[in-house]
Amino acid sequence: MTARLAAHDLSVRYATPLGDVHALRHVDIEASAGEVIGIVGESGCGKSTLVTALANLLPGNARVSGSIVYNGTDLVGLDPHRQRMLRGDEIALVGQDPMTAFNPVLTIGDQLVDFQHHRHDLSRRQKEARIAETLARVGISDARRRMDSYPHELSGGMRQRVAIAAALMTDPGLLIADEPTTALDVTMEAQIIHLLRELRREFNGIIIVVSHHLGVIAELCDRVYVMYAGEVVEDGDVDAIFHDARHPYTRALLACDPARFHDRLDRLPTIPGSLPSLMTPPAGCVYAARCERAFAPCSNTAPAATQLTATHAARCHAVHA
Amino acid sequence: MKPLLAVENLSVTFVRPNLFSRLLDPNPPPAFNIIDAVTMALMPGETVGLVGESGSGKTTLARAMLGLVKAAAGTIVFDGRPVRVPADFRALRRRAAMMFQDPVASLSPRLRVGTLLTEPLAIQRVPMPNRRLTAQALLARVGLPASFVDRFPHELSGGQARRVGVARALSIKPDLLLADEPTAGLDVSVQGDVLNLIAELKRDLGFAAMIVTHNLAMIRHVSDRLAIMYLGRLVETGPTQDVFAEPLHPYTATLIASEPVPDPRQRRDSLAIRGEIPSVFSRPSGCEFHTRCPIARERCRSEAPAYRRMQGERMVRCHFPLETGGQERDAFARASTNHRGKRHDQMDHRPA
Amino acid sequence: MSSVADSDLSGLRRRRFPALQALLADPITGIALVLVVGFLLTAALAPWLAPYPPTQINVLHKLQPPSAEHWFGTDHLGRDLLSRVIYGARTALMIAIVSVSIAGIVGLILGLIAGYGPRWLDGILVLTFDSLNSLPMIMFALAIITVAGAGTGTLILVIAMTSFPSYARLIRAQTLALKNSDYILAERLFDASPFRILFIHLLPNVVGPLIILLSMDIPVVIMVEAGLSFLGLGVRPPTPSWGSILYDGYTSIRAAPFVVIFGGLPLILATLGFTFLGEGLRDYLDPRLRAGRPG
Repeated sequence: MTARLAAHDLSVRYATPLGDVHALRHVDIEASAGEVIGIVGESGCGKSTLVTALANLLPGNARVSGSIVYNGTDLVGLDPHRQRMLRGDEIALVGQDPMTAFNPVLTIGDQLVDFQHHRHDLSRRQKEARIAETLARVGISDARRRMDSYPHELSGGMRQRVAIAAALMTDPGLLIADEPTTALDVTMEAQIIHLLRELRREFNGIIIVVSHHLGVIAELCDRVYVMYAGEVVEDGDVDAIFHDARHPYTRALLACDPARFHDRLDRLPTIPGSLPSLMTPPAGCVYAARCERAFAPCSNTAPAATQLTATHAARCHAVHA
Repeated sequence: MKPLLAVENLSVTFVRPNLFSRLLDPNPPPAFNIIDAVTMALMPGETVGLVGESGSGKTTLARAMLGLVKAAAGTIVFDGRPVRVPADFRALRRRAAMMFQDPVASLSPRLRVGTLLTEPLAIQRVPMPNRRLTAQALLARVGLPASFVDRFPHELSGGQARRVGVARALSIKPDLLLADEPTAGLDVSVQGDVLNLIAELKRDLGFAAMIVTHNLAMIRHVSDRLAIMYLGRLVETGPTQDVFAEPLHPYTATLIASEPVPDPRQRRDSLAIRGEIPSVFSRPSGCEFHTRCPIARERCRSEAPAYRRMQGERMVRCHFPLETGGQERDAFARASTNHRGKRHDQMDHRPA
Repeated sequence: MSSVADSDLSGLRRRRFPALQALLADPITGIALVLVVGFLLTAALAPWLAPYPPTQINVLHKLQPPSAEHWFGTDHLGRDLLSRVIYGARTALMIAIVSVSIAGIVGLILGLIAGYGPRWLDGILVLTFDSLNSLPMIMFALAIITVAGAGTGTLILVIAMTSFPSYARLIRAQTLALKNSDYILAERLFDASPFRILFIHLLPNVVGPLIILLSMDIPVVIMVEAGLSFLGLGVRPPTPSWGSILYDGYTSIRAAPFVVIFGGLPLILATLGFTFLGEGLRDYLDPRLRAGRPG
């Protein structure tokens, strides 16, 4: 079965003593097997909430509405046992800091054996063979020796490779990489990007890459969702997002990246203003307060998605097909 | 012009902390140089970018310059006077300010922003008729509302804490600002804000700045000169635009080529660099970069290259620097391409 | 030096929002505060609250169960238990609070110095802490009493001397963890004096766990005082203390269980009160916890 993921009208709010935080509002996401989906946005845009919702790891005070349909199963409201089954088998998550993903007192090999605990059909020897094979796949040549190492004995880049290997162990249909290169140096980042690109050739599931780094998204993804203040403001093919961005926020975000300019700038571009409060999200467009092109309807009517092409949509009053 | 801060052959050594094992061992292990004989100068008013990966020793170098880390060897000259004893360092620190990587963690957590902002002035006994008003003036200077005097550090966002850090560093009107990863953890839309603010204050106050970072895309726009560090040694220095246009050291070239380009039409099919930065405790023989260098030859394995002057102000530590049109640059391009058998077009696509 | 630091801050300090109100935000802390204040008031107003003199012996009425006349009953010498519990609060709280405060202050200062000072000084101090910690308290108390004579003052000295090392170790560990943090480095860069770093920047960040430990130790000290008093090393009879009431009660626990119950109840309530007050104080002292979790 080819994996397919569709989130529809997904909203998440966190109940806090000070009031509800509307972290995610009316988000639609679609992905099919073989695709690499990018989710890009700055802090507070809701990308972490979206990822945790997809991985079914939201904290207890989260209230979810809408649907996340994965291979015909709605993950919202699924009973805890089946959630765990799915998470172990079908959905794998690679986090930002690979150090915290591992237990510091067990060797890498022991932990990777443990990750396969549901494979009762395999002996420990077979499991170890699978580990060696998977570690080789992520570019760790001396796999046998690495299996005897403890997490702290590995460098950040090596740990991230092991974390990716761990995610692949279960043969997931959905691999979520949450800021996979943020904690790494630029040379390691290039190597992890390279690795993820190589992997997608053989991997037949969905890969979701979440990052605030436009370069990482441009290097890796086929389709991109741009998020701002808990909403998807624009989505489209990677080329359309980077070369024909239509939403003013996407344009401003791209314009801010100093990597786009090779000549020295005396003043780096910025986006003036700040995020709206997620406690009381604005009635109109979430970006209206910071938008250069804002006009009357922006402050009181939330814009609907304008379909620009079959695969490119933006939520903005000023954008017309 | 006379340099504001000059260090010569500065070394910082890591010694086994365990006295007992040192006494027992008749042949104590050699001391490891975390910073190895660094020579560099900072001119008044200029901005130097100190670039390297984690483990390159760039933060240690910055701290050693201010005496926060003890140097094992070398000289430091600040404003024409040698800095030797702790009292000299104290005098130096009174004219220098440092911004730390984590903006929130570098603010004392139990004090309010107002107290924190004016504390350096209070320590230096600068007369302040009204601390609250002084704090508010400093806040206004960095574009934060006056009401922030009553906030605690944890109530600030990363960008706001950064601004408070800038205001605090500049309250004493320093001649020198050392900024350690000033944009770490900031969103791109905010990072420009902080850098613009530093640039603006720099124009007004005229201090010299050293920005320690691994963010090449950012440093390109805010520095006059670059110093590239690898395993505790400088491998290349030169004017920023020149270094980006024509890196001389293969390490600099690979760093620039590794930076992801925010353009899906310029995806890289090959990998400019493999492997990881070695540990200073097992420094490779010869040229320390030979284990990862795409154009390393036999000589690089055995003989350590000298740090030598190339055209103009540029310095490089390499036997085979990538000179314009030179065979090394061609060899580098070929070496990078051959990895995947595809054209490595990175260097050509990034005009100066 | 301290006056400089204080006056520096005074110009800035906004009127703090009423401390009590913030402290009472948590109802459990409120109940704990009521308990502790109740005990303090009881101790202070003992002569007016107690229905009988606490040492008035009436052997004819010994071990009487609670009645309208004697709400808590009477003990083995016929003394009114309620009066003894009320007066006992005085002895218990005075000894506990004074000795724990002395130990806390000494431990705080020595711990800060050991943690932030030079290595050789740290070595000497840690050796001192460990030596004191390794002394058996009863033996130590006997030795001191032989020299100084039994009594309340000696008791306080013994308790303070034996408990400050653990406070000092706690503070030292916290100080060591914080001394290389970014904000301390930043302060050193601004040329802040060691005094300023220790008492303005380190102290408020290390004192929280100590306060909790201190308030949780108060009931322990009350027990220690009772034990030592029982051995004749502490409060001299007939001065009432909760400890001696309890120990007296154990001898007649079958015949008159109410003595242990009413003697133990205030100890339990005091333990709960001081413990929860300690936790409430910690939350109040730490602005990060006070503000609640960030969204």
